[in-house]
Amino acid sequence: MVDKHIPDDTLLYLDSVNVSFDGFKALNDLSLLVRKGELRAMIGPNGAGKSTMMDVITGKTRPDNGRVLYRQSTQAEASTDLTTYDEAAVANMGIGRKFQKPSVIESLTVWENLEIALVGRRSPFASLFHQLDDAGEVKIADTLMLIHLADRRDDLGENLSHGQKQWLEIGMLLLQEPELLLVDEPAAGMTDEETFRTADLLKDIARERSVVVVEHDMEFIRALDCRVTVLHEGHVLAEGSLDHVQQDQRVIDVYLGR
Amino acid sequence: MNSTQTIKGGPVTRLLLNDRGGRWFLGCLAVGTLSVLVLNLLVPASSPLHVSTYMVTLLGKYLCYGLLALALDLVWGYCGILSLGHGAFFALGGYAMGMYLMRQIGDRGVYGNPELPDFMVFLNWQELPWYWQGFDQFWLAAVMVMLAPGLLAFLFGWLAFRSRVTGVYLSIITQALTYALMLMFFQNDFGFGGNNGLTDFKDILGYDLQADGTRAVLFLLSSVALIVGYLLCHGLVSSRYGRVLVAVRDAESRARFLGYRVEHFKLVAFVISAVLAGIAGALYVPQVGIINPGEFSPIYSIELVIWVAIGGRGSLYGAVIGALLVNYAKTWFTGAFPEVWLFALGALFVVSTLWLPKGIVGIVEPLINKFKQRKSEPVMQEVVDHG
Repeated sequence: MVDKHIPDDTLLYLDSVNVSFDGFKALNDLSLLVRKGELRAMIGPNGAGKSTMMDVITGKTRPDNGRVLYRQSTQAEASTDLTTYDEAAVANMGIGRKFQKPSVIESLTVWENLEIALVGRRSPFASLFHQLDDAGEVKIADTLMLIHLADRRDDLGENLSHGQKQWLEIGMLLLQEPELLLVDEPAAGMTDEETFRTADLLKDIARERSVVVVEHDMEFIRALDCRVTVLHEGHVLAEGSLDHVQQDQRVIDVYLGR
Repeated sequence: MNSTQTIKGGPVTRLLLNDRGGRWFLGCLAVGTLSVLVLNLLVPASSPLHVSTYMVTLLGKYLCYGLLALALDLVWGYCGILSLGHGAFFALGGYAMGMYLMRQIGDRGVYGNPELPDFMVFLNWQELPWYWQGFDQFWLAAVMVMLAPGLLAFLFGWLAFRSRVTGVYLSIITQALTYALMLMFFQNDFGFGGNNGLTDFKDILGYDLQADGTRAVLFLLSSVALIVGYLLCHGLVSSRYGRVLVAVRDAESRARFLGYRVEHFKLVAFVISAVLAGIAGALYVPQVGIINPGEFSPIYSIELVIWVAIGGRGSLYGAVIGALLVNYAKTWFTGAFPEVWLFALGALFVVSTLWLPKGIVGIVEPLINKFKQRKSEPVMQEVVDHG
């Protein structure tokens, strides 16, 4: 199935993906490769196609053409084409997504939010008779510590601060135990201190999982200290270290120089 | 909801452990039901304490409405599906029961035809249509009471939820569904008695429907159905399934990206809700003695939404309390000031929307909690001492 040569440790490979909305090309022949265990930052001006890219990977938007190849944990190579699956199926293959606007369940407690995220069978029937085991309890307790919400476990989601909601959502993502996390602007609306703590948290997570972060905040990207991809008009404009792309004249022209 | 504590007792005890309001509600309901039965059957009619059979039947009707409100609250309060056509499932359950009751009349009808109900004789039908076959058997009627609404809800929900129809669009098509059914049932040729519906029932399982004893048993059954329905719904919403339902209500896409197939969760809730509504309708019909296409009228479904909103959307007993109170008010108003009722209903809805977003339960519960907190501190201490 894989015709072009891609490296063995490829986790996700977008192969010339095109998406257009009423003639507007949101993604224009976008190709991108994410390796297993990689932490990757994506930057680009508004309308560069970052959110559309996430929509395509997570099964929300069907591309006009192109493939999104993904390597499931049981597979030897990236051979699953995600464009034929819906959101729930993609999520269950191990791709977690954090939205730009924090999206936690406001009328459930912090603990309950984490509990429904905890990896496990997702059918209505299985959910109805689900009994949380000790291992699950421990995982939730560990995650509560990790996202600094242990003392808020019985508070409702709606009572958390903006930054705490962002963390709770990251915690929910972790309990899904995904191979790949797609994180959309995690630092938006955070204080400087929260921003750096979030960067540390993501770096921690990237030791065991692959993480793709979309972000505008240059300080945050610098704190992540990882490979950066610049998107522009639905296409990859440049890729490399932050210093490398910041010196790229085309990048300066379209984005950074403004 | 801490699940680390080990809880002893049967599944019902375990269910109610974290549901103080539910315990009170079920306790009051059980005590109330038994009191009414005792006062109706054992206290002589001359006593001022005697509860008339008319009142027993009226209360039985309220309880059926309570079960219907509970069914709607499961989908609206917990899953965010605002169905404006839930009366359709209630009416379908009612019609299934009505068909059985029609067949029970036998040759005691006006035309004395042992096989055909009166309205069919009147229409010059020669034989029973195929879909009336077997309805002389109670078991078949009992199955159809649940199957007909359940199947309709399944088909409708499967199409609507799979196509991701949500919000006001979904409400509108549920409204269209019940309206379309109303028009169909109004047709004489459709075979359900046209605009007269099904009526003149004589007996059920051989017992005279007019007898005090039968009325009392129907009232008791309505109460039991409401209690069982409550426990079922409470079990659903306090499981992980229920938490996912709330997730679907509050943030549908979050639930999807967590890997839950939202349409399946909605469908299960919708079908269970429709079946409960059907059972409510089936218990309602023998008590009121008639079922006609008016029950499909959208206005009833909207009224039902108002009961739930006033009682407390998202609180199972709140929905039931809303149904009981609003219907009591309706009975009183339509007796005392018949022309004012619709205005009063409208006013209630406006008031609850503007000032009581969580309904009656939303104002009463915090008060009780405050009261309890002040009173129960020593009691809590006692529990800790013993434990």
